[in-house]
Amino acid sequence: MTEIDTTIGAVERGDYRAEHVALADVESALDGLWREANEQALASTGTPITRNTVLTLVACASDAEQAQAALDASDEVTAQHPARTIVLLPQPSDDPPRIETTATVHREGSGRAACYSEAIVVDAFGDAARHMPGVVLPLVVSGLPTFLWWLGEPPWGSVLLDALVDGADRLILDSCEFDDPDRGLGRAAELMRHKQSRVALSDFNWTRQAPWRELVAQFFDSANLRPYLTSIDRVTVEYAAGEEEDPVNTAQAYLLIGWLASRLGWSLPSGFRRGFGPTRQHTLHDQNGRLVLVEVDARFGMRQASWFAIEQRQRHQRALRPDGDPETSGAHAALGANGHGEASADGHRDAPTTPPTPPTSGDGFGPGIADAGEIGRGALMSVRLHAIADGRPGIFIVARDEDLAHATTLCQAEVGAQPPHTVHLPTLGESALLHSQLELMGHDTVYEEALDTAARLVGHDTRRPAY
Amino acid sequence: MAATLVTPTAINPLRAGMRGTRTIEPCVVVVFGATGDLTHRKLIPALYNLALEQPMPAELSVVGVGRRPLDNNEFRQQALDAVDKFSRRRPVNPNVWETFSRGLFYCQAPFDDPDGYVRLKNLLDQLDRDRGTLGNRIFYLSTQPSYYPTIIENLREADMARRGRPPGSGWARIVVEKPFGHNLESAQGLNDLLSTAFREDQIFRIDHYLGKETVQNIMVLRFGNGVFEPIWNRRYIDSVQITAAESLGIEGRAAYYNEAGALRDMIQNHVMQLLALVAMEPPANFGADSVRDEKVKVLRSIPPMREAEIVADTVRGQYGAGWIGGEHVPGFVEESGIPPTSRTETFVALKLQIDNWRWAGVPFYIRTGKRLTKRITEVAIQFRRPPYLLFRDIGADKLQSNVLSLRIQPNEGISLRVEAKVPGQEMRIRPVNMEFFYGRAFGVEPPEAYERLLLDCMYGDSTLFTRRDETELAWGLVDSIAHAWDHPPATGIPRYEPGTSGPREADTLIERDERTWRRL
Ligand SMILES: NC(=O)c1ccc[n+]([C@@H]2O[C@H](COP(=O)([O-])OP(=O)(O)OC[C@H]3O[C@@H](n4cnc5c(N)ncnc54)[C@H](OP(=O)(O)O)[C@@H]3O)[C@@H](O)[C@H]2O)c1
Repeated sequence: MTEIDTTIGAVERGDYRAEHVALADVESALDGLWREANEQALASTGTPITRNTVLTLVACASDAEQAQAALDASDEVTAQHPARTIVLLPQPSDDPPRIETTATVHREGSGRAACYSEAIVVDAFGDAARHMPGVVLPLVVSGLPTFLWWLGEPPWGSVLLDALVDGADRLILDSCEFDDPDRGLGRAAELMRHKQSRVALSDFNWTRQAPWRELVAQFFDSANLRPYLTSIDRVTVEYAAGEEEDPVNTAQAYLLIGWLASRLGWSLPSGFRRGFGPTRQHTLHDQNGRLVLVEVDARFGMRQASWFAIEQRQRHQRALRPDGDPETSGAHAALGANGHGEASADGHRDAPTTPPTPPTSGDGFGPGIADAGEIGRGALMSVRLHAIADGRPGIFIVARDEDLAHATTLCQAEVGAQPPHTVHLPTLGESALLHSQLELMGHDTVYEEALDTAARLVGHDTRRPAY
Repeated sequence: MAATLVTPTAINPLRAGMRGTRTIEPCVVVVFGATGDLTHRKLIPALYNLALEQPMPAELSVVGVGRRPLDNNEFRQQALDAVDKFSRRRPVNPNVWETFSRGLFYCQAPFDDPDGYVRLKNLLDQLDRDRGTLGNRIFYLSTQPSYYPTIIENLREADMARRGRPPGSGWARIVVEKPFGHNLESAQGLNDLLSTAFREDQIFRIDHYLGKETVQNIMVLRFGNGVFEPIWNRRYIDSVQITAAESLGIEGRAAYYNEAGALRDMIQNHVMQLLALVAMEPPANFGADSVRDEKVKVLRSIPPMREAEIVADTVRGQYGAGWIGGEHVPGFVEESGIPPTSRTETFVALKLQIDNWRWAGVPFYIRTGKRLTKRITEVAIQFRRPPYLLFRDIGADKLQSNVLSLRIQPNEGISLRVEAKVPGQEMRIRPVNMEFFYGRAFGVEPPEAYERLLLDCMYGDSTLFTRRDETELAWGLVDSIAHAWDHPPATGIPRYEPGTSGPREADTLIERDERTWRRL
């Protein structure tokens, strides 16, 4: 057992780890690690630590890199969600079946502000990889919510997915990591429909897209402009794509359209034809039976990268930048250590409170962000709505700025001007995304309805009986 | 104003399931006192942070009203400097600032000049046209309280208060800062004046304590958890302590503070609000009036204190000169701007009773003061001791009772002190604190109180603002104490050393009941 101390930014963290633990000994190994952590805490602060767990997170990875990303993210949300994390790394092969586990107690922060969580990494080799559910289920903490996080596109229809989903309260996906987003959205919707009573679904990509939905919704907060909402006749959604021969990811675009269509009660006419290729057109009917033309356009030539790689680079750069955003760099915590000014209880002189560095939203704005030309796979580039109310046209546009980190709205309508409005589009890292999913309880019906509609747009009839 | 096309649907269907499901209608925030301290320190940064974190409508505009000659650009520059200095989100995001600042305007208008209000009205009408603000306004009084009457009257005379306007033709709301009057009579006078121009549902009296997450969490903790409500009464609770301590002195607010003192500055508003939230019955729902009805019932159940009780159950004090954190600090009467003969209290301790079924016989001990050991605001619920017969042999009298403490600031959180067995062969028992910090548990930085309150005002939700009757009831209580203190006028006032927990008399007040203050 070893304690490994690291300091990242201003957060001190440390791990107590036991490697090569037999499956049967995992619990007692963890007990030992907790004892060790407790002894150290007693020695340094005089206060024992509490072993508390609010949920089990089962993360299913397909390679070591993903497994590490899952561990890092769950470590970073320790303070918010002290959890038992079980990382599964199935490595099916013809080798003899073998299971190897590593148990870890993770400390986030130091002194009396330290928080702890525990993790179990399960490497399954050979045939054992095909029998993971029996390994995982006994490790799940009973009586608490279980979250299943699938990194990458899940093996749809597999026994493994099926069994793990049955043991979970929520399945967390990331549709921007799907190899085939059309299939992925379809199969996700299908799974949702079949398991609805047991498991709720969420998608990192849906969370990433939230600022766009917010901006589109905002146009119609003005009572003056709201009539346009029931008379939209054309929607164009543009998403980032690489070179023309590269694969595209249309998931964000379809989730946005699925959201609009399900909120506004648009229906797919019978004999509806799905589109193919990167640029597609669909015809829907609005609530009054009028046609709505929907276009999904690829903006080719963008330098695409994984969302997480971009976030990590931004985070790294912020840490290097001396005048970095005090919220997201160590400067923030340093401020806290100085006490930064007692404040009067009447509050006007309150200095801002400084909680330990939260999973940041990664504000990558400001000068000095290199690689600003990179963009997350399938990111939304623009959303345009065209509507005619009372014979008067209205155009509503949300477009990504040239710096790729902001979006600006534009509204041209004869009634009621609306000034353009720029907002920052944060690139969220795994821990921030994970944090927001772990906060969700129960079904997110708005998302689920959007997904269902998106799936039908890409040609999947989720009501098909077979699963 | 542009004509409306068709009857608009009442709600925006795209808002379903969103963080801000409620809709903020486009509006103009009119800040009286555009160049003031509060505006720079709190209001502008709060508005910018709201814009940064998005739920703001694009049309949102801000008009600063002040005396100095400034143009829009100078005002925008001042606002930028304020954000740069005071925002919790820094550095300023240039792109977001660009759009936000295009919605900032300045209107030079001395508060007592009716022509100024005509200019203001014209500017607002123009914004309705140019920026689609639909005739909706929030008037924010960020000025010395002596100007409130003038501004309210002028708004009424210029027909900007819109008391009688039908819904749908643009609304007006007014936010009134503290202090809300300096005694019951002046508070009533201000309320009467306000009601000549605004309906009660248009009036938002700020008590920024109510904007704090932890204060709102008192309700969630009490009514969202099955375990607390059954024991939240006289059968299980021995006493309650409310502490609002500061380590700072008066920090340049001499004139105001010397007039007000701790009783008016803290007890009348913040502390009474905390007390009401802790003691109230479950509201029928979380609507503005249901919650405030329950708080009012609590305030009504505090019997007026007779003079003898005031002598016995209240203590005041004033800080003398001394040392805090290795630094010499002047006494209150030596602070600049404070007359050397001042008998203004900088510390108050009280024992209050709430005469109702839930609380009869449970004392509420309250203390607040400046230049105390440290800055802490908390509510501590002291439970009764269980019968300790079982543990007689091991020194049962040393067992402490359970305490649930709700910490408002700093380190917002909840802790519960329980007794636990020390691991080992013997039966040894010691207290253990089970702690829960909001900052840690939910990771997100709690928004500033002013952000929450401005947002609620934009939504038109007045739950977290004090209603007329609350303000007046609290003043009634405070007045009775202040009156007794002044009759006959005190010849002296207990002094306390800076950096301590207050005057000795405060200890006596609670020790008489065989209890002690929690350590600061
Ligand atoms: N600041 C705090 O920490 C604090 C704490 C608790 C409560 N409050 C409350 O918040 C409110 C504002 O306080 P504050 O400290 O911000 O006040 P302040 O700094 O004195 O600001 C007053 C503002 O009003 C303007 N003004 C004064 N007389 C005027 C007149 N005749 N015509 C037009 N404008 C005039 C001033 O403009 P000029 O610059 O041109 O003079 C200035 O912008 C008060 O109700 C106060 O009690 C403030």
